[in-house]
Parts: sequence; C-alpha cells; structure tokens
Amino acid sequence: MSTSGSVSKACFVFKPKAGKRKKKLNPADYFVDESGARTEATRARCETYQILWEDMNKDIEALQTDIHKKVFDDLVGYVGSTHPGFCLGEEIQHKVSSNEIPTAALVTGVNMPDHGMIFSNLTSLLQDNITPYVARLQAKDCSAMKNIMSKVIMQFMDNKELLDDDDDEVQVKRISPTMPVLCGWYADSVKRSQSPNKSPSKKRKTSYGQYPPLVIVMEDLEGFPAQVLQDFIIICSQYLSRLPLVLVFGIATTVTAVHTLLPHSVSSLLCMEKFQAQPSTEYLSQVINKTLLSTKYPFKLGHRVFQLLLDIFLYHDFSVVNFIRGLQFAMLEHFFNDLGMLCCGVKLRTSRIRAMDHRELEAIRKTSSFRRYVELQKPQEQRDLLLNDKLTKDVFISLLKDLDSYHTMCYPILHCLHALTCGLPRHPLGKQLRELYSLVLESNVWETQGYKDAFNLLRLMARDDLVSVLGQCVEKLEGWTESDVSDVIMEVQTYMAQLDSLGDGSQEEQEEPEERPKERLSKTTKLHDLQNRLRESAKQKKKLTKYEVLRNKILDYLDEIFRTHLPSPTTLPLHEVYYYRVSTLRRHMNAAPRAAIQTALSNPYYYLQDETLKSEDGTIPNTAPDVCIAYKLHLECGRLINLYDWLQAFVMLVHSGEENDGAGTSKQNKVDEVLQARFIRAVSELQFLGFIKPTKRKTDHVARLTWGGC
Amino acid sequence: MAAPKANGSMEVQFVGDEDVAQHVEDKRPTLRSSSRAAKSSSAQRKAGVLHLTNQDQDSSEEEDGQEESIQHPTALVDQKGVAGSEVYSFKTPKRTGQMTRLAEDSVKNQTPKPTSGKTPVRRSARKPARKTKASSRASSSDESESDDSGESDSSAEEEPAKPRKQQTSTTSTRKRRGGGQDNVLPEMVEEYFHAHGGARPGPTSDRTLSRLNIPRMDQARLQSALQHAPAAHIQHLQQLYQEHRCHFHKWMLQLSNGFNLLLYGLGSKRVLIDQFRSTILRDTVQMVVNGYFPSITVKHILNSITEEVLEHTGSFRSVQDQLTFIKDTFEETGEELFLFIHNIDGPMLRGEKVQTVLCQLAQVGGVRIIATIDHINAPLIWDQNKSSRFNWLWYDVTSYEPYVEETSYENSLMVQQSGVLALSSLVHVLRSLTPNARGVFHLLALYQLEHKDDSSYIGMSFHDLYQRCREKFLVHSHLTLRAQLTEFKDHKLIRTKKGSDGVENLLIPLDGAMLAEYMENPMS
Repeated sequence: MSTSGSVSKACFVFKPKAGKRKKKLNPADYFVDESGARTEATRARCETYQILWEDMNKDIEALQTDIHKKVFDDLVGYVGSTHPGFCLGEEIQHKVSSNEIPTAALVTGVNMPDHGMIFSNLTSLLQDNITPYVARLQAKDCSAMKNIMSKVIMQFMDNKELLDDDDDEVQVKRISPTMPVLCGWYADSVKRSQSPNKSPSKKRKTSYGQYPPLVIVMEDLEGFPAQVLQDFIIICSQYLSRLPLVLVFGIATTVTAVHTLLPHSVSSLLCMEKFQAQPSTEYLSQVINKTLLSTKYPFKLGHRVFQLLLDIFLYHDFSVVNFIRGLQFAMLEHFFNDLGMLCCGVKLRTSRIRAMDHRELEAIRKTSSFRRYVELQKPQEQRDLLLNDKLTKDVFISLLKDLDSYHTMCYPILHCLHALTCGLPRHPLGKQLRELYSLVLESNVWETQGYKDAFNLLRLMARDDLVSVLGQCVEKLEGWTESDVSDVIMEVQTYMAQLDSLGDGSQEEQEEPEERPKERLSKTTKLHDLQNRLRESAKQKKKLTKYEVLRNKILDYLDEIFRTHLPSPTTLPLHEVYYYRVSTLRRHMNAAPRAAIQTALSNPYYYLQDETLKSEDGTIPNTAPDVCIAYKLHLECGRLINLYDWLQAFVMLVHSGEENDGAGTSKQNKVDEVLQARFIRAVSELQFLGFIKPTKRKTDHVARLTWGGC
Repeated sequence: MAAPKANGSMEVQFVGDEDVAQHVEDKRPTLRSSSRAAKSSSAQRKAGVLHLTNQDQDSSEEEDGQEESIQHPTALVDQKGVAGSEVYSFKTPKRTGQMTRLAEDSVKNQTPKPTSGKTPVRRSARKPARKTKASSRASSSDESESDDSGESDSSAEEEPAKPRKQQTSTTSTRKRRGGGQDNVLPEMVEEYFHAHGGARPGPTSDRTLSRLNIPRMDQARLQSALQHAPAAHIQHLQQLYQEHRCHFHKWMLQLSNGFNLLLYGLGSKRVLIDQFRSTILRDTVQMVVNGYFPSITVKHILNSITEEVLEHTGSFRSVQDQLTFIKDTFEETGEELFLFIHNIDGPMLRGEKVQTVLCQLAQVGGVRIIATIDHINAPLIWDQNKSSRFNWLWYDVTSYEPYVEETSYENSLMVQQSGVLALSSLVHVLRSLTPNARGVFHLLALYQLEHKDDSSYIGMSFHDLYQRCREKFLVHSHLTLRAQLTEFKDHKLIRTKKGSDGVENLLIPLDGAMLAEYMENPMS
C-alpha cells in the first residue's frame, strides 16, 4: 500500500478486500471516551447530539424560507406580471409595446456563501408558481457567449418536469446552442402543453399560464465578463418578440454595479426593477433568537465562543452558513466530553443522573463552578457533597433544575431590557439584542458601565417616551409564549396605567415652595445679588414631581427584576453542562497556518518543549532542527542569499554544537558530506515551503521571498 | 469640518491651511493588522445595520455613527500566538556578513554586548571604504537609535557589533513602534526607503559553490549521506506525534458530520496520514492523491475516481460532465469515498479552475476530503465561496518530519538534476530512430562538443546543420530536416532559440561530460 516514490502515477485508489463489506460511516462509532472505548455513556451522548442537531437544523431551514418570503413573493409577482400581451400566433394582434427586457435586480448582499441557498429557494418558488423554465447562470462557467448559450439551452431543454411519456427525450447534446433553436423549442413546447392529450397520471404542479416566461437568473452579476454580458443582452432583446424572456440579476454590491458593467446603449434595453433582499444581519439575529435565545434547546454558547462567531460573521464574511457551521462544530465538541450527557431534557437528564457511576460523578464534581458552590456550603455538607454519591446526585438534579428556571425567565427579561434601552442615544447596552446577550454572558450586566449609563438616561426620560418604551416591553413579554411572565406584565401594565392617569396634570402638580418669598426682580439687579440668588435656589433641593416619583419607582422595580433574573450564567453552578466555553474554536475555524509555520521555525521550543531549545534573543541554539537553523540564518540576509556563505554559517553552527569546541575554525573548503547533505535538505525544504526560490541573477544564489520573521 | 445637524442641514466651515493639519486624525495607535479589516468592515457593518433602523431615526443614526469609536473585534484578536505585525513585518536593511556574524555569535552563545572590542575573524571580503550616502545615513540612524537606548558609541565607523546593536535596537524600536510614538516615525520612514531603494539586490559575496569539494550532489548520494545524519529530539517528536494521534477519533467524528479536514504545520504529514488511513479507515474506499507531483492534473484525479472507484469505462466530453456523473452516481449508490490530497497547494493544483473542480467534488455527498497544505501562502488559493464550500476544519499537526517525498521532485540548486534521466531517455529515443536521424543528431552533438568550452555558444544554426547534413546525404530538403528536428524537440532532445540575427539555433541541453560519454558509446 505504498503511495510514495512513483514517478508516473499520482493517484492511488485503495479498496477494501473483496470479502469484507465496505464500512459505512456512522458517526455513532466515533463518539468515544478517553480510552477510545464506546460505552453506554458515549452512545447516550451521541444520540442526544444527533437529535438536538437535527431539530436545530430543521428550525434553521424553516427560518431560511421565511426570511426572504416577502422579497421573493414580490419578485415572483413581478415575474408573473411580465409579458402580459405575449403571444406566438401568426397574426400578431399588437406589437410588443417595448423592446425592453423586463429585469429584476435583486440586491443580495456580500455574503457570497449564502447565495447558493437564496437562489435555490428562489428557483423552486418560481418553478412552483410561475414557470417551469428557470436557468441559473454562474459567472465562473460563463466566460464566453458559447458557454452562456449552451448552459441556458441545456437547462431549459433538460427540464425534467416536462418530459412526457410519449415524447422522446430531447437530445440536448447534439443541438447547437443558438437562439433560433431556443425559439423553435419554445414554440413546440407551448404547442405541446396546449394539446389536449395529456396523460392524467402525470403529476403536474399548478398549471402555468399559456406562455410561461423564460427566466434566466444570473447569480453573481459582478463576476460576469462585461463584453459577454453585453452581447448576451443585446441578442436577447432581439428575440423578445418570439421568447418571453425575463432576467434576474443577483447583485452583491449595489445597483450601480449594473451601470458600471453595461453601457447606456445596453442598459436602455432593460426595464429594471429593484428588489432588496433582507440583509444577512437580520437573518443572523433570527437564527440566534431561534437557537440560542430559546428554552427549547439546552445547548448554549459561552461568551468567548459566541463573540468569536459573531466577530467572524461581522468582520470576515457576513455569512450565516458559516455561523451555523461554527455552531455545529461547537456542539460536536461539547458533546464529545462527559458533561454533554446531561445537556438534554428534564426527564432524560434525571434518569441519566441516577444511572451515573462514580467516575462520571467525579468528572462533574471537578468542574470549577461546582467547586465554587461546594466552598460556599458548610463543612459537613461539603464532605457529603464530595463523598456521598446519592446526595450529590440529588444536588445535581436540583441545581440543574435551577438552571432551567433561570433560562425560562432570563430570555423574556432580556428582551424587555433590550426594548427599554435600544432606543437610547449612544446605545449604552448595544443596538442589537445579540450585543446585549453577549454582555449578559460575560458578566453581571448590572455591573457594567453601559447599564449604569442606560439607567441614568432612563431617569431623565419624558413621560410619553417612557410610556411608549414600557409599551414595547409589554408587547415583547406578551409575545413570549414559552414561559410565564404574567406577573411582570401585570406590574408593568399597572405602572403604565398610573403614568397615563397622571396625564396632563404633571406640570400643574409641581409645587413651588411658597414659603420663600418671591423677590421681585428689579429692573436693575446687581450681578452679585443675582449670583447669590441663583446659588441658593440651586442648593435647595427641588421637590420631585409626582411623575418623577413614579418614574423612579418604575425604574427601581425594573432594576430589581433585572438583577434577579439576569445574572451572568457563569455565576451559576453547573453551567458547564449547558454552556460550551472552550475557545479552541478559533484554531479550527479561522486558523493562521503561516504563523504556525513561522513559530515552528523560529521558536521550536513552542512545539518540542525541549529545554535545550530555549534561546535568548538573537542567538540560535545549535540543537535546533536543521531547517530552523537554516531559516534563522536566512533571515539575516538581503534579497539575495549566497549559498556558499549560508552553508558555511550553517556548518559552523552545527559543527560547534556537535563537537562542542566552540571555536569558529572549521576549515574552509573541506566540509563534511553529511553536513552538506543536511544543509541541502534544509534548503530544499525552505524552497518547498516558499521562503526562497532559485534565481539566475547571480550564480549560486537564491532569492528571498519573505520579509517577516519573528 | 462639516457636521450634520439633527434636522439634516449641513454646516460648512472655512478652515485655514494651518488648521487643516489638526483635522487630520492620526490612526496609527491602531496599527494592528486586524484594525484595517475592522475599519472597512465596520463601515460595512454600519451600512448593513442602517437598514434595520426606522426611517425617522436615520439622521440621528448618522450622528451617532460619527461619534462612536470604531469597534474592534475582541474575540478575533489572538492573545497568545504570534501577532500578524510580527509575521508580516517590513523589510529592514541588512549588512554584508550579517549571517556569518549571527552564526558566530550563536556559537559563542553570548548576549550581544554594546561595545565589543573583539573583532572576530571575518572571512567575508569586506569593503570598508564603500560607504554610500545611504549606508552612512543608516549608520547615523543607527547611532541615533543606539543613543536612545543609552549605549555609548565610540566611533562613527561601522563597528562589528553595530549590526547586532542595530538588530536589538530595531527590535526595541519595533516594540516602541507598537506604542506609537511620533519621534520614531521619521526614522522608520528613512529605514523603509533605504531598505527598498536601489535596483541592485544588495551586496553579497562572490563565492560560489565550486569552492566545495562536492559542488553538487545527486539524489542517490544525498540519500545515502542523510542516512548518517544524527536524529535529534526523538523523544519530543514522539510526544508530538502521540498528541496528534489522539485526534484520530475526533477527526472521524467530524468527517462523518460533513466537515473536511485541512492539516497544516511544519513537517511532512505523510506518516500521520498513512497511520490514520491504515488504522481507522481500514475497510473503506480510499484514494490518495500526491498533490506535489509535478505533472498531476485534475483530469487524472477525476479519471481515477470514475475508472477505479466507480468502475465506469466510458469517457466524458468535459470536466463538468464528469463531475455531474460522479455526483449522480454517488447520490444513487450512496457510496463513500475518502479522498486524501497531500499538498492540495501543490504547484499543479494551485490554479483557480482546479480548486473550483475540487470544491465541487467536496460538495458531493459521499466524498470526504482530508488535505494538507505546506506553502506559506497556501490559504490564498481559496476565496470566501470556495472555503465555505470546502467546509474546512483546520488542524495544526506540526511534526518536524523531513519532507523526503515532496522535495524529491523539487529542482534544488544544489542537487544535480536529471543527468541520468536525460541520458537514458536520449539512448532510448535514438535507438528507435532511423540511421539518418541518428546521423543528424551526431552531427549536432559533435559540433556542440567542439564548442563546449566556448561560454557564448548558443547552438548550431539551422543553416549550418542543413549544409552539413546535405554533404553527408542525410537529408534531401529543408522540410525533411525540419521534420526530424520537430521530432527531436518533441522528445525534448534539443532546444531551439532564436539568435540575435533571427536565425534559429539548436542546442542539446546536456552538459559536455554527458555528451562526451554518449558519443563514446552511442549505442549503450
């Protein structure tokens, strides 16, 4: 089974022996514990993970169809309304009014990885409702007119829905891809669909109109070569009388991209209408609300992981598909370790805890949050908790129940806080719900500066604003069906009623302290007197109006609610069961291979942990691997490196390390063969890695390709 | 200068020339490599967020946007590990013999002393008198830096220890640069232009490899010499290897959940992958592709899949057809294939079209890819679309193993290339030729041997060769000779170059010794 050393072949296939059956990949086989064994516990974890992930995925997919519903409906409606007077008969009743191709410009946003999904949804919607003829074009396949035409024709003609049993299969491959062919085929298919002898057994979706339009979807318009696109549009516009064509442009940036790609002469042939798809941030918020901010799924992300996934979304690619993958990876990692077994529904969890053995209990006892909890108990209880398994199990069950109830109340209150503070200037607690959630995950939210600022601002709010904000809170809370927040709703509603009843009387209620005689301001007041009077009045405590009293009461009540229900989950014992907090996610999803290679080369101690490899700044340990020594030496050179000098330096270093004589007196020309061979190997490896390349500028020199080095 | 007010009107203010500088903000304190991305995408982010606000809040939105500071990613910034600014730093000016000095210092294992009176024996032919303006400027900047660091400097001449100082002071300047002090900026600018200026690549010594006993080794000698190389750090390497082995089960789990693996890190990963294949994936269909192979094409890969895995013997009109067929077959039969690609960044697989085909392959349901990368710029071959389709999970498997296989195809300067291979191919081809063709070739070879010491020999001219061949009755016409030469060219036996006077020159790409050896026994 050797795949190396061949000079002719590069691909080798290995099949299992004839007798053995090919093994199917079953994820359950690979859920193993540290010793590599599959046990009852690992199977339990695997099952839980699979069920959880499937549910989450289903929900996310349902969201996917919803998120673009409005835009797609509009778009489909638009496509359906194009070409109203089209007909292919011999007598053309009236000429087609304009020679413009109806075009829909769908602005999709820069999240390229999500576009595949968007366009498949759109295609299926179109095929369900308006027309079976939808062709999708991608810029990477369409470098010339021939490619575009052949792809379009293949997709239209190969349409499997229209294969009647009686007709022969259209031999697409032999047809030359030209427009007249397409026209002929369209005329034929329209005639065929109008003919009465349709086999009733064939499953037809909703009947399309008499002349279903031909829709061509260009998924990434900016990638198309300009000339090809222009030619295609000009040709299409010539055939408008015979083919009801509709174009859909998928634009990632802005509509001005169309104007840069197409000159005026071509863009005047298009009759464009713009459709804006929902930005992916909106979709992300909905995904987060559905999966993480709900009590349906016990799996949650810790602060750093959540922030990391958000940062990757916001700063790298705006792609929700990648966010979901990160979520899946986090879940996989979480369920791979022991605690994952308890991350499930209540009944299952209770039975699993009862069935746990000592080793598993120990693993859970070791978690830092449980240890903190134990330290807070009395010594007798501490001993019990650590030694008495039965007691510990009961404690676990109750602690996890507490966590559950925390979750049920936490999310609606979170929405409430968000509704209160999202309208404030400068957004002290973030503009989006996810930012607030991130703050809650990190630490107790009432200790953050943003919270204090928010409450200060709230204490200055006017009555109408306060009423409207409270109204929004109540709305959010009422819409929350998963848990019981009726007390909070009632309280807030009573407060709102009280605020309303204060009504317009708020200004008149302001009592001025009448005790102090009001001094008439004489026409000429001395500055000194004025200053004194102002100072006195400022020192006097202004009596609060009724409104302000009520406002303070409301805000105190809300503050208390927040403090009760929004502690950071990291303060609760056993939160590690639900929250995935390890932040190695970054290394796997967003890695930096070049940094790894350069670290390995310049600092081998990081990987090899050998004491002799520790070096002070600037010198090279001579026990380092050859390639590291060669690398560090080459960093000292300019653009060209003389191989002979390099060899000498290398030999000097390595030789001294081996012989330990410490003097740089190796004889000039006589270089040990083995050392030379090692040097050659190191240089070839550096060339393979891409640090140097051979050059012809000077004999026996190599050119340096990088400038960094640490 | 212009601040939009809440009611939407713009206020324009006249600012004099001197005051303009005050309005230019210095963004340098946020010089980290992530901040540039943060700025551009925070603008994007704000733009994306702008959609979500109500219409009446738009104007206040803009005000807030200007007053908010730019938010930097908090979790994306790696606290441990190497900062990007250190990996991608600027070019700094280098001195002759710096490398030798570093080697010497490392040998002596001293910390760099500021004023070292000892002048170690230097073999490099130094030209101390050659002080261009640039280098004097550099040395003066050296001095200023070393003055800053508080080390005394006795003379204005270049002292042997000064490059060392320069090195440490550049590292200290680099650290200071991170603090963003204004007085370092002009020196940085000077250094930058000094380092990048000048068309000539910089002084290196003129010694060549011919000074060595064995200027070039061939592969066999290299391999045998390496057998005697001492192995170091065996224990630590074993430890590292064991750590990587622990990941095997996780890899299988992740593969079965739809992810593809990408392994990176210094050292050959062939051994690890072979172990993975033979232990865990024993009963599955596997395909191994050596991406570093210099003549691999994507067609080879696809053909192997269709012919050997799916056992289909037809041919396909285009790559797209083949891909569609593979996709359909895998979906129907539910087969599974593990595709191991060593060096997916190999020189023949780097192209965009190849990667597009590979990522379409990755999207086929039953195909799982485990690939390795080694080149430092490898991640550049994928854009957002491709890397999302590939669905990579990255694993660092540094192993310090030597790249035996991968570099055996490389054209290293110091390894004697292709002498044996060319001679055997020469003999083989000529044996199958007609006597006339052999005669033509001999003429060319003899002529070349006569001129082998002439360094400006560019080849025999076509006309010359034709004359001689005609004299010996080897060819009848131009056309026949051209046909012969085309055949030689196809077998890579000769090379043609257009000379300065427009005449074609023919050259045999073998060195004199080889050619002489061939001429001695033409039939061997």
